[in-house]
Amino acid sequence: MSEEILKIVDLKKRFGKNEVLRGVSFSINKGQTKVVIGPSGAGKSTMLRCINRLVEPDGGKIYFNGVDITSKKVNIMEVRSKIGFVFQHFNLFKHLTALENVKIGLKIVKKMSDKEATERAYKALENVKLSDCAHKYPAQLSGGQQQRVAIARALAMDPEIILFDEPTSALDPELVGEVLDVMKSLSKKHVTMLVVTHEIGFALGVADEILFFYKGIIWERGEPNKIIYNPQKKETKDFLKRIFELYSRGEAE
Amino acid sequence: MEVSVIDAVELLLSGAKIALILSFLSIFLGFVIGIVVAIAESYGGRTVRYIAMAYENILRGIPLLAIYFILFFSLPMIIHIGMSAFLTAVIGLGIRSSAYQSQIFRSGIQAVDKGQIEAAMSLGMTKTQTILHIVLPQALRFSIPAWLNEYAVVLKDTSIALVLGIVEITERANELAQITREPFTYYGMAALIYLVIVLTVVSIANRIGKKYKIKGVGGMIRV
Amino acid sequence: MSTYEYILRELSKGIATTLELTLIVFVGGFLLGFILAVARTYGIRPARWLSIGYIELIRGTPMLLQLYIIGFGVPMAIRSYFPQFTINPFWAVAIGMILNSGAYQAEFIRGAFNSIESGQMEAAMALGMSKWEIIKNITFPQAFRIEFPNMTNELIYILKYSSLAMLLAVSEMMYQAKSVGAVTFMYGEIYLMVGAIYLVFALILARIMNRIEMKLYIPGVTTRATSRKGLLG
Repeated sequence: MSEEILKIVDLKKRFGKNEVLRGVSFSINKGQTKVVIGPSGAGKSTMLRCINRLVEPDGGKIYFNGVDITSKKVNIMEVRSKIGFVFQHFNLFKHLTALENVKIGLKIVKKMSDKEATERAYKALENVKLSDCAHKYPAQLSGGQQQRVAIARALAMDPEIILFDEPTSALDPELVGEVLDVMKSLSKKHVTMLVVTHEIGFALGVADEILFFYKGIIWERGEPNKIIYNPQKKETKDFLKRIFELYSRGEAE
Repeated sequence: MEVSVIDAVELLLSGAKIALILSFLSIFLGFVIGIVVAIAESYGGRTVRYIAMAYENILRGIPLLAIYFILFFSLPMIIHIGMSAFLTAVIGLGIRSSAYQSQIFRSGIQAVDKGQIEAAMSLGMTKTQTILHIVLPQALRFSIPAWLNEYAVVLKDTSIALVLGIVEITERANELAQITREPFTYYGMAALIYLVIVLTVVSIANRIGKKYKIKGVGGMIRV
Repeated sequence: MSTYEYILRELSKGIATTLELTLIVFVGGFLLGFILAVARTYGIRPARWLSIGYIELIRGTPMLLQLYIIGFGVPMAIRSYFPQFTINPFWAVAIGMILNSGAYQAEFIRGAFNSIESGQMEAAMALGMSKWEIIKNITFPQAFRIEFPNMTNELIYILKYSSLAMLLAVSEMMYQAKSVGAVTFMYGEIYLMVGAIYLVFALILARIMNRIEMKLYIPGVTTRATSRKGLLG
């Protein structure tokens, strides 16, 4: 039985009067890839940020490897070092080279020696096929390259799970492929991943489950083929229709 | 009365030496305090922020002359320690500069995009680590042009130290002008010295800046 | 009358002079600055070079040195031809500070000119406006608003640097402070009081300028960032 890496129970969050998360519950086992889709502003990004407590939830619990990380007693920085996060806008450290970007977490948070950190960092960059860009600065890299460095940075920390917040939304169309390829290969290597994205093709290819997020909760969930080609709820159908005409078969009627 | 040109130049240059030393000490003091105040104001809790803001506003609101006199006359009244003229000049100019430098650094800190801070925290870095390793290196680079401008201001205001009896360039020029009745010669030479010092400092800084330049972070200074 | 009352009374004799000086220099500096900025941005080649040279010279040297030149140097030179020549120190300082402030304000104003897109100039010219009309009706109203915050800073600078006038025997606040100190020997208290008075004036001026700035607000031209904490620039 695969271990449960992440379990979210009844997660709630409001901003002022706006209830963004109204009781989200799901779990992810080791090695699984789960994809979250849904309309913009539905709270998907907020949910991801609640998981590593960049945003503090208002209610509910989050269990990471069985431990309740919503409790105040937890050393959240240690937890964060075990949860990888890839941002929509990359958020690379602009004053550091690609290699240094990947190294810095290892040296400062994981307290590795420079030698060890450099070795690890190079390996991570190889994983995303960017070893030859190690000494370039973010400003010298394309969007796709920057995002791959960001993925390497998350990977190098050897996290138990990686969260992806719309990783390709800020990329020019021709650069999306290289990032998705990296993500697909990670998924195939059984890296545990939770991905918020609009890239249905990716979901169909590697996801173990798709969660359709709507009005602050998981509106519908299931295997990729079922959700995409035979959605049960009206809102799911409407959303998918809006996202693409191509794939939708169980619609038109 | 006649004064030989060589003597005059020597006198002016000794004044220049004093102005340079004074300006370096003051700008350095201002730098150290300025960074502390900038961080306090950007990241501190409410009380700390208010104290930092009050510090900035007071030192930017009163003339340097008043700061000098307060340090020289009022301070001994309160804490029974008297300072030498030179020390007063350095500290006075230093703390005033710190108030302006703190504003420069604060702008630099603001200019670092928040996304990088999110990324740092999601790696598990503490607030201190984030400020030290991610924010400051970039904030300081962004601040370079404005900071060099502040140095020029500090150098020019060393002239005010003459009220404390410190004989720097302007005072020397004054003396020489009175004695020789040739004001424009000596005031002119003094002006030239100031211009040369500022130009030299800026071009050295530019050269150093080119060495440590990082593409995409920070600006160059135009001479 | 207590000593403190006496001190305050003597100090306040200098307040009027300080404020007069500040105002005269600010306005004079603006006019000079405007001329320099126009010369630098729109003028013919020699005018541009003169303007640049002047501005760099003033900005590269201390104000005190400039005040000495105008207050001591120039009169001394004139006296070799007209031995009876004297100049009221107040005006010497005023002229010197105007010449100084003008150079700094010229840069602010020039920045404002540059921030107005050339498209607007083109449109104005297409309508048939002359260069002067454009400056008056298009450039100036926008430039003025954009540079207003910088002018607030300059005003407060002038207030503070007016204290240098004491070195040329102008009886503004600082001079008064020194002279009443010479009488009472209470230098410590006096300078604290004078510092407080400057601070109060600076804050009041900043407040007034802020109010004006808010009244001048035009969306898209200026920002409503007048809620920034550093009132004193």
